[in-house]
Amino acid sequence: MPIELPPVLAMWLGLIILPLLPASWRPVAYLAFPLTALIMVLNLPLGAKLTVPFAHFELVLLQVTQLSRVFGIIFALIALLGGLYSFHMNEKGQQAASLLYAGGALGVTFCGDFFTMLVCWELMAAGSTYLIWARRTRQAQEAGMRYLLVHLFGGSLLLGGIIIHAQATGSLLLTSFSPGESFAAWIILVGVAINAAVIPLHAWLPDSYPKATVTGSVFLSAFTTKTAVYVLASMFPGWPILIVMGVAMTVWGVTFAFLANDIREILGYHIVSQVGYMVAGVGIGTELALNGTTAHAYSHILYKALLFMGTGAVLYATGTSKLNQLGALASRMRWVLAFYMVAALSISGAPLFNGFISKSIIIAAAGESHYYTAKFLLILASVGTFLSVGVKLPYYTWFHEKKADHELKPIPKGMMAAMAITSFLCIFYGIVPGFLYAELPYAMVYNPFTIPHLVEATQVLIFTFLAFWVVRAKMTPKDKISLDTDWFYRATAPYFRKVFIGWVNAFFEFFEVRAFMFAHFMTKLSTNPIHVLRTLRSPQEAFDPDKYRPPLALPMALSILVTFLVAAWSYWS
Amino acid sequence: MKLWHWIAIIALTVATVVGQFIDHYYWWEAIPGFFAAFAFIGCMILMFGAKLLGKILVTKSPDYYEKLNPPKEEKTDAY
Repeated sequence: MPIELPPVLAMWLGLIILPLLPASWRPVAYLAFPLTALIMVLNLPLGAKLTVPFAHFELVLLQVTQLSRVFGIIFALIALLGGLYSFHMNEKGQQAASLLYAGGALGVTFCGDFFTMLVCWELMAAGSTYLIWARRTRQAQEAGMRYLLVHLFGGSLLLGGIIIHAQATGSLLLTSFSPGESFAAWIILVGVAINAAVIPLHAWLPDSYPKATVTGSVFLSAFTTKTAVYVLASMFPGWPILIVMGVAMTVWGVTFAFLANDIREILGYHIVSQVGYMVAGVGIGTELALNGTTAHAYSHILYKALLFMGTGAVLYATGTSKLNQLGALASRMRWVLAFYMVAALSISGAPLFNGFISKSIIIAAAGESHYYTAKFLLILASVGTFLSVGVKLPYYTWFHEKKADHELKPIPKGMMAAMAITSFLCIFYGIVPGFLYAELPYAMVYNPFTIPHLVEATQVLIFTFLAFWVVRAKMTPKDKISLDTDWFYRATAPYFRKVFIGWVNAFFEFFEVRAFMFAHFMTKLSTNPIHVLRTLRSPQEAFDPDKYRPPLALPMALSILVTFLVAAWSYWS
Repeated sequence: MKLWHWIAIIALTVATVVGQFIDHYYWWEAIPGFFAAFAFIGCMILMFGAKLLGKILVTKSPDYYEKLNPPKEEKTDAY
């Protein structure tokens, strides 16, 4: 009898145990928790459910569907590979943050109610922010803060939508919304879209991922956006707006990636672009398209993690990730280049690599549903993907001319092993896609290896390369940055700070000053109240009882007067 | 790029064009070299489109944001 417990428990148990272990055990122990989670996911039967009562709601902590199973497998697997990649990095905080983050992703994947989802969602934001801050540079600190603020904003939208939804329906259970169903659905969609990096809400991603730690960005590339894709696929299938947004993301991503100078920023923009394929697949909403989205998320997590591992290795060895400072490293980093190229060919959809067998499903689904404009734009985005990730980035990193002298730090064995295993998986699924197709949510008859598909992919790759080769002299990278939609909150930040912090401070300061002035005034008056009452002027000296002592006759006269009045009153009544 | 690289590229392209005559699904897939032209022109448009976009609007020097919003030295509570 398999144990039917949420796999997130294995990760979060690690969060408690890991910091207590001696340093030398931690990297090995770290691997045990994702491995346990992976085994738990694989052994969970479909339809398994675990509910606990919570006030007058039921929380569904575990709910296994075919969709959540696929995402669960890849999340646990990549947490394991990421752990292997960070084997050399024995830093308690980052290890714990990774477990918190990966656990949150598994929690969202396997939960069945909005409340549990929201809790896991916010914990993911916390864990991932730490992975950015752990780089400990000023840029990372600032980008991490922006990342956290954007995600807290998204989380608040999600919470708002959930409250309206729960008010209207009286249920916290996750449901699938029909297009434009309710106001609550729209708010939830925007909240999820922030995490899915849907334009124009995507700028947090290429802003923060390049600034995270070498190992942290491997985790970052896998969880946040793909968890959001999972939620979109389970709650918003067939929303037409997602087709438009998804296709726009693919083209926007490749355009900005071409402008970027930081190699990890290029990859960040390609996350936006690749997630665009998945979002478009959700928008198309047919069984084939949803299968495509799921398969592409699975493939994407593998090759994107591998891309970040490869560029992370370059950053680790040379100390820079700027294209304009790299070059001519091929002979000194042969294996890293080989692993990187496996990932680059995968993301570009080269036949026999895993991007080909998943991306082509979405493109085929677009054609089958007669979205021909979308289909051609998605192919154009493939061109842009190979251009930046497959040609430009490796050309200026490993080939071209040497721009600076780098003393290369030797790359740890764990990093190499993780890259080798991930490369193997990219090729494995590319050659025998049946192993992935068998796990997809809907049964389908689909063969990626048809002649038209192979022709399309091969011609696209060759002629993209040729186009770059022809004009490469004009494309030498320069040390520049590109403004994106984050400009709107980064450039206006001083004004927001002025209104929401400066003005509020000024308001309180105004009254605070006046309150103290009043108190001071009262204190001064109370030093000699008799003088104030008599003259209505502020006192020059403190009250002296001897000075104001009344003559004895006054109290005597008062006593007689009062006695007389009381006697008169009692007689009268 | 060595000579055999070019030969391999040309051989592969020829093979794909031959493939187009064997099988196609949509009508445009039957036009010889359709995706070759699509990729070549599309890639040019992407590269120069991006460059142009960068030039007129988005490309800035790396310290753009620092200049726009210089980090304050004084201590603030709002950090």
